[in-house]
Amino acid sequence: MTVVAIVCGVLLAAAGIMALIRAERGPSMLNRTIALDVFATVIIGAIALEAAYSKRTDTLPILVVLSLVGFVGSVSIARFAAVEPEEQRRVRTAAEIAHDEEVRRRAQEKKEQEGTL
Amino acid sequence: MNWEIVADVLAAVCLLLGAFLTFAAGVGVLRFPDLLARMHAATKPQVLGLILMLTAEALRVRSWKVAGLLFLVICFQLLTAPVAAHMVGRAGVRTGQMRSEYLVTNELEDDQNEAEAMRRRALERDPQVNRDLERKLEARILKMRAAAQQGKELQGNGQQGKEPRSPEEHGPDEQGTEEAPEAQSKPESS
Repeated sequence: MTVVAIVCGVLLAAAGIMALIRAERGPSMLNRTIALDVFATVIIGAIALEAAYSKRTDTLPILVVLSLVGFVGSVSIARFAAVEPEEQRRVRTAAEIAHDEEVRRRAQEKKEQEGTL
Repeated sequence: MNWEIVADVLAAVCLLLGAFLTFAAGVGVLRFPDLLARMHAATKPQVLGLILMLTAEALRVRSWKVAGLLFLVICFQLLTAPVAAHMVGRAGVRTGQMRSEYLVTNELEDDQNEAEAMRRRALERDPQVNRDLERKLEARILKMRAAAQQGKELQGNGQQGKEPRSPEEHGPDEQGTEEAPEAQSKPESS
């Protein structure tokens, strides 16, 4: 049983890592959604594997909850965030985030100044 | 050979199969070329893989209470996984995130073309729709100009150097994609 558990653990870990790579690369939000769905499945599988290995039952509620609410994230992303500009699909670099933050902050300051005048 | 050993062996086989399906999904999600193919790979462990692994757990724990709860988990997954897949697939097709060269046949193609033609015809026939669209476009252009102005002020304030995403080049991009859902949703409602 130990050997089986180790082999399964390695397979699950490999699947999780590959899903995370796709979530980082994923050319769009929907691809990331799918990758994270697979990752959630990997987590469910890992919990089930651990429970099967050590014959414990206290982790069962986690499985119930994960299988119940796991789809909320992908549904809301597919419904509300699927349409995105081509260049916003990639993960922004730190410099870009800093720049956007600066723009936002200055706009806010300007608005506040206008409010006080 | 008593039945507990048999159950353990069965559980081990189920665990290995389930883990292998999950692994296959990981490979597929990483290596398949487009959204629909990745969805196809991702759904394998969501149902069959989960059923196998939970069966293994039930075989190991051997209690009816646990088996009932695990059955509940499978039921929930069977209910929710198709919903998520349906929404993701629909959004993917509507935003054109599939490569039609991989499709044997695209049964939605006729409907999509027809919807596009209907939208064109409606635009020609009804100038009011045209005017509405123009007004929306105008508002958007004004917004873009304001954003561009803001960007210039920012640069004037002494932030020179490479700006990877200045608001000017950001604006028209947004406009192009915001148009898409409108174009698709209009013919449906009529």
